[in-house]
Amino acid sequence: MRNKFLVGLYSDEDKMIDGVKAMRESHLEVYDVVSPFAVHGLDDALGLNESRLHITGFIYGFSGLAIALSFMTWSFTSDWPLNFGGKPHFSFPAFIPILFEFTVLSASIGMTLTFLLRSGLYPGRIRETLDERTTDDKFAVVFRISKKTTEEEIGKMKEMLQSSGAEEIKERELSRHY
Amino acid sequence: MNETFNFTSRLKTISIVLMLIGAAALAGGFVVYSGDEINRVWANLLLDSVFFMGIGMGAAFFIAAVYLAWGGFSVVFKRVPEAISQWMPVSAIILLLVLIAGHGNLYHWTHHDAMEHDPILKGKQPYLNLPFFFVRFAFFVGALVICTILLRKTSLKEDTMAAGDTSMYKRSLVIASVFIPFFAVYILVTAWDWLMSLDPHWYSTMYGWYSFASFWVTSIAVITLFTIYLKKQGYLKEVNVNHLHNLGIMMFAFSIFWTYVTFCQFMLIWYANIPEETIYFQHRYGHYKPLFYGIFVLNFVLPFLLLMSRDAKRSMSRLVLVACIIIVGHFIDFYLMIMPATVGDNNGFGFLEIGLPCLFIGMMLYVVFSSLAKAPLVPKNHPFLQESINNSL
Repeated sequence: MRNKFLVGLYSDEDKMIDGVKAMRESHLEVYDVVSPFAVHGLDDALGLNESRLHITGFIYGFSGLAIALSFMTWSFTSDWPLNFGGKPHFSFPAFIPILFEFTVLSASIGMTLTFLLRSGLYPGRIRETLDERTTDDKFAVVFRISKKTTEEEIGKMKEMLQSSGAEEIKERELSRHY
Repeated sequence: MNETFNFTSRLKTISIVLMLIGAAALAGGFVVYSGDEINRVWANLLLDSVFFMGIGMGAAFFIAAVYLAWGGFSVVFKRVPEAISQWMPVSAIILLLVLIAGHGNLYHWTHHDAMEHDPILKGKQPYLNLPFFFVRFAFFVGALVICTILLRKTSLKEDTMAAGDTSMYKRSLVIASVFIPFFAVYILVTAWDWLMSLDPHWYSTMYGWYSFASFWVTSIAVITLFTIYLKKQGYLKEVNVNHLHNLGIMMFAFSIFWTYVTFCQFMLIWYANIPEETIYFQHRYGHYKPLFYGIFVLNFVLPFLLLMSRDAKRSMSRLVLVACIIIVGHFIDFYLMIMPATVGDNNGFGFLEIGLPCLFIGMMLYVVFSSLAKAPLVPKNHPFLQESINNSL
């Protein structure tokens, strides 16, 4: 499904942040901001909720811990008990380095995969770019134009973009994950 | 920006009352315990003076490390670790007095006949002898005390300089870079001298890091408590939730660091299973088992779980809770380093163990608050001041 977007391009991130703040104050819904680097204070300006990615990190890490502990316990105590220097079969201190490593491994791989899936990235995916210059030195503020958006609102968006210092304003048709 | 802390008479009364309680407990200790039991008093004095001196030393290290790392976040509340570091010279004198008066009761290796009939101790005699013991104390502690006082003086002088003058900042960098190498050797040597030589036959190469990790995380917790107290009293208006978040991150990170170092030491000894080495944990495992497991709960599990989320690090009440847990936990950690070697199974938590820390807390509060009151709470010409005010996470 194709969507229509209104894009304003800035070359100064301070003007862009001030613009975003002004637009949100006048009750326009900014769909997205695309920038070549992480802009400080942008999350607050956009009113974004805190990312939930680290919660998945905790869940993956905890599952990794549980899997590693149960596997080691099973293999060392019931499946194939071996005598290592007379130590008990269930030697918890010896498990700890492996538990730590496996926890970190599960959390990092799980979080990476979740992030890629959530952003719609997978091998073979070809993404449309909003504007190639946003990977270089331009900052794009994006509005979504749906069927409900009135001409009046579009006019207001354009005006706000213009007044806050956007150098170029254009409409584009892209898929939802552009 | 010119606010100065007011050391009210109420605070003075509180610290003096704490000191009196502690002094009474100490005097009571000398009266109640006699003969062999007197060791318990000396062991407690050593525990408290080493632990509280570690807090002052950790605060001095905090300042020096932030200077050398060109860190900016702590500049607005820089006077807090500075004031805590002023407690270090005082506590060094107290520790010196305790060591001079109590070395015979505390350290087995100071007795001549013990040295003569023990081939292992005889082999260590070139290092473990009293003159060299005090020379090491004077050399390392003296150098660090001088650096700490100079760091404080330079910082106060910076306030009087013209705006934009960075000469004092550069001088502080030089002092800090003298401080750090001394500190690196100091933490190893003093941990061997004051704590590890309580068990003179035993040795561990991780011990210096282990005790350093313990007092370092404690001093971060103390810095956090003082900063939050000042903030609650209406001082330090530029300090916001982002600075507290940074302190929370440091408490969280160094609790994990302590666990890492402690477990490293334990696991290598456990794996190799050599009797000369396992004896250390044998002493701490039998009679002291609840404390031995308890410190892992207090110093790792609770800080780890309570400070894990971002919201927790930004909540004052949570930070205060965790800081208190860390301080108590690491006090018990030092207790476990000292008590099994000095009083063995005759330990306990009596009026002495509760009262004596009051003496040190009272003295520390008095010194810290009076140094806070001596200077503006926010440094004026520090080049990273604006960066620190703008700090956000």
